[in-house]
Amino acid sequence: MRTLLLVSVLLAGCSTTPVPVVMKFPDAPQSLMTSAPDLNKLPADKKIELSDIIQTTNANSKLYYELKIKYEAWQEWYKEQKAIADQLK
Amino acid sequence: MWYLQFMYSMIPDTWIELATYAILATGVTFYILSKLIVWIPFIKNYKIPLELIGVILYGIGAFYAGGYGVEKMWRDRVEEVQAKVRELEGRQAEVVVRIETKVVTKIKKVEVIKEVIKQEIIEKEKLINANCDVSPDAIEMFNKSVTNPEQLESTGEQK
Repeated sequence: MRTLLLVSVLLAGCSTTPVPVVMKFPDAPQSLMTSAPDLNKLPADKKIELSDIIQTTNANSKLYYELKIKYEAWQEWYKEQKAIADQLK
Repeated sequence: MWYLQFMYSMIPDTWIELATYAILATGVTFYILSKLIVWIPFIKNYKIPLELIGVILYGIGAFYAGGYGVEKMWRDRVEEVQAKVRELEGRQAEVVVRIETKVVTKIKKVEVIKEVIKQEIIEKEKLINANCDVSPDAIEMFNKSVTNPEQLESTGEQK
C-alpha cells in the first residue's frame, strides 16, 4: 500500500509542453505607409515673381502639415497598439 | 518527440480523461482482487501477477491522470489566452481604422485650407508682384533651402 502511495505521489502531476499563443503583429494604417515627398522647388523655366515664391511656400507648408499629421498618427498608433499588446502579459 | 505531443494534442479531452480513469480503476480493482483471492483456493496462485499488474496499471493511470490534469490546465489556459488574443486583435484593427479615418480627415482639412490660400494668392497676384523683382540668387537660395540635405550632401552643394 505504501508503494502505491509513493508511486501516486511521484507520477501524478507530470506535465506536457504548453502550446504557444502568439498575437498577430498589428497592421499599420495604409495612409501612413506612403513615403515622404520632396519639397517643391521654384520652376527654372519661367520668370519667378514673389507670388510664385509664396505659392511654393504654401505648397511646401501643406506637405509639412500632412507629414505632421502622419507623424503624430504613427505615435498614436504605436502608443495604442503597445497598450493593447501589454494587456496580454 | 514533437509528433507524439502533436498526436496527443489531437485526441479529444474526454477520450483522454476516460482512458486515464479506466486504467486507474482497473489497476485499483486488480490490486484489491489480488488481496481478496487469497481466500479462493483455485486462483490464489495468481495473487502476485494480479498484484503486479494492478500496481503497474495504477502507476500508468496515476501518471496519465497527473499528466492529464496539467494538460487540461494548459489547454484551458491556452483557450483563455486565445480568446483574449482574438479580442485584442479586434481592438488593434479598430485602432487602425480609427487612425486611418482621422488621418484622411485631417489631411483633407489641410488641403482645403491650403487651396483657399492658393486662390487668395492668385487673386492678389498683381498686388503682391507690384514693384518687386526677385533676384536669381534669391531663387537659387530658395531652391537650395527646400532641397533634401542628404541630396545636397551627395551633390556637394552644401556650401
